[in-house]
Amino acid sequence: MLDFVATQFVNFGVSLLDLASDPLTYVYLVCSVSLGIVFGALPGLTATLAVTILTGFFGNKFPVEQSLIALIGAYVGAIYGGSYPSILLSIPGTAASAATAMDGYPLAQRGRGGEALGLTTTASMIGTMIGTFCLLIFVWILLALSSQIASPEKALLALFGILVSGTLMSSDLVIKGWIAGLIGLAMAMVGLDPILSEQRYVFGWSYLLSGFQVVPVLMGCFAIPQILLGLRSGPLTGTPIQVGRILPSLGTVRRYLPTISRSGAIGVGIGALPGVGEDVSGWVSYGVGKSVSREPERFGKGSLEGLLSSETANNACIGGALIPLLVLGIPGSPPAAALLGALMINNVTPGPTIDPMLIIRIVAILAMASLTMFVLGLFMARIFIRVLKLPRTIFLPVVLVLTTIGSFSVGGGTNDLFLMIVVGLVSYALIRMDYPIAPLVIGVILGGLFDETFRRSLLISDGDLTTFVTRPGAAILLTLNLLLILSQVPAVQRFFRRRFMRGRRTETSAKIPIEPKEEA
Amino acid sequence: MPDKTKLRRQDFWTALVMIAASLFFLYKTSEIPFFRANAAGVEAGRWYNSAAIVPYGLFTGLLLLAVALLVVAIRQGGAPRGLLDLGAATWIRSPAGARTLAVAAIMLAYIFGLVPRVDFTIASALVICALIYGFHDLRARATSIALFAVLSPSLYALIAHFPQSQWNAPHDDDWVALGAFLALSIGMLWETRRATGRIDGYIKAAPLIAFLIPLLLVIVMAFGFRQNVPNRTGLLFGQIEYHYYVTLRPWRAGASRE
Repeated sequence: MLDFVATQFVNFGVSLLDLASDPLTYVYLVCSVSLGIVFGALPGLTATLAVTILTGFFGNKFPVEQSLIALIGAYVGAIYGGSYPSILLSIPGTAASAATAMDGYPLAQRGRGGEALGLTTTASMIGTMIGTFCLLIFVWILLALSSQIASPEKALLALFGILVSGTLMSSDLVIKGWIAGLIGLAMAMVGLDPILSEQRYVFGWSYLLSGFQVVPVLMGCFAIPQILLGLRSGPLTGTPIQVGRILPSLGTVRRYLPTISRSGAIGVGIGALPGVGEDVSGWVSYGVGKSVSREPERFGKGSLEGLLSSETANNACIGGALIPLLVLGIPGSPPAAALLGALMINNVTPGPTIDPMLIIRIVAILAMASLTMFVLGLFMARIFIRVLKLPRTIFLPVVLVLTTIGSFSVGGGTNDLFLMIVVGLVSYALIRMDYPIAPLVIGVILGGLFDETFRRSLLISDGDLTTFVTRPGAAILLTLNLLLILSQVPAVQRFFRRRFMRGRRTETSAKIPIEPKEEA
Repeated sequence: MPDKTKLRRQDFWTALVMIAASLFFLYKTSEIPFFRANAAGVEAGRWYNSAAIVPYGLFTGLLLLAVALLVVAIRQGGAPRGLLDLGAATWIRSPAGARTLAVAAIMLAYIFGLVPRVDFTIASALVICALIYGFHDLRARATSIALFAVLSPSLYALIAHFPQSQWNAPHDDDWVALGAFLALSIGMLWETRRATGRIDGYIKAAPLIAFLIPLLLVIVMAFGFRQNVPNRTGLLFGQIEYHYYVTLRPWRAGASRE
């Protein structure tokens, strides 16, 4: 095991040196991380949008490794950049930074905005590094396991990814998350089927024969609704508070190192869950931080512990989200879904057959991106803060043009634009009705995998459905899927609630001391 | 009306739409061979070989979920009291609803009317300018003018040159869009001053931002990133491309030889 870890680190070091010795890397990193920070800092633009727009720009005309530097740089920068408006304006730049606003803004109001920004920059860097090293170590263990995964497991895993993201991303009813996931799956059914090349739901439109393209769907789902929502509400801007000194003191960082490490681990764990992502990890880590803190009453009133809990976790989530993406081809978060889109258009298939050196290269890019983010965040924060003065009515129209040209360039046709706008308007309607949109995108991406692997399993077993039960891995995944579905059925929920209440009553009655009967 | 009830009322109608869509797609799935799958002329009549198996499960699942959503919506007070109780009419009449529809209309006009026919820089400049002017001040009059400025040239392009294959046709719609952009640029400055007594700095800068950003973008994409861009024969881009290949490239090649 130690030999394996040592080899990994040696390979990682070689790859890092290779990257560091290429001047082009710095150009790409500084540009993409800066762009990411600007996207994260501007309320209305998201990390997913930053990655999606760059996917449109790079397309498949650049070497995949160069595209990855730009995309990962933007991803890391945008997740971090969301903390700027959260702390300085109490307006989360991205959903991932919503928990940061709880303590960041009260700190800024007390004149400690600079300290808060400096600490979040350091915590984000450490968080990304934790995620990076977890990716370096665990991805190989999981890859070794994933080589044992055959079609039945893959099909059930894809279904689990869609169901779990639908369950966890729903803010209203879980049914809505599942419906969104199934709509995505249904969209993936359009075109020629992967085994018999049978036409499905093409309606005579030859463009649909190759199915829904990933980039226009991503642009439609993530960009168009943001533009509509932003312009509908009018300009949103504020004057950032005075920030003061940004460089954090080493003593404070050392004092909060346990909080940072714990939140990093939580972030990686949640990131590794398919489709859940940075926003959930921020809130979960914030909740855990509050429950284990010695001063929970200070949470929400300007606690540095609360601030670091959410901000470390959302950046650590990036490394975690890349684990299922690289091992199984199942994105761990919405921006990772956009990253998968970029890999797919470059003919890179994540999973057991992925080039091992590409993974090492991605880990090295992630490490360099987090260092770039740290340097830019500490020394150029004041420049990025100026971006917050821009009203969104100015930059959202530009985003429309960016997405249009990006979507056109990848597909090379106006049909992609028609698809983008229709998907975008439907997504807007769904978002307005409280449907989560990430399960839909994950459904579109995983739909093909589910269809192909499910039918292949049946073909191999000659139509024998027990193949999903007799294989141990498949049986576990089937059980997980069923448990996930059953846990949302009202009758089952009532049954368990009754059992739980009865258990508690019995426990309480057992604790009541029985008075000795008085002697007559 | 509390938000939850409003949401359930929307869920009620969405559930009905989804039930209808699921039934329609189940019907369409029945057209895919199921018990008599046929691959490349070879009869492979096994049910598990069929391309319809996953769609059947999928749309049945969607149907069940839609019914469950309908039940939840009715139980939680989402059933409408009358047939006309849609709430959509109220939403359209509200300022936010009208603005949403205006943005959607501008986007649709841009994607379906302008981009397939009109020079990308001119079309994008017009749309950016209209969106900044129409939605920065939240004035209904500004929104209406912006909407009109985009709809007119896009309808002209659609009606006069609907098929995309006519990209080589005369540039009359490019000129119409350019005219609309110039008219909007001047008109919005005049109208904003008349309505508010002063011109916001962002509105002042809007025409410049609107023109320069797509111009820069299209040049970077076409010549820097070597990516495909819409309408390479457009009024403006056609000239840029011509001079890039005919004037600039040979001149640079000559300079490098010397």
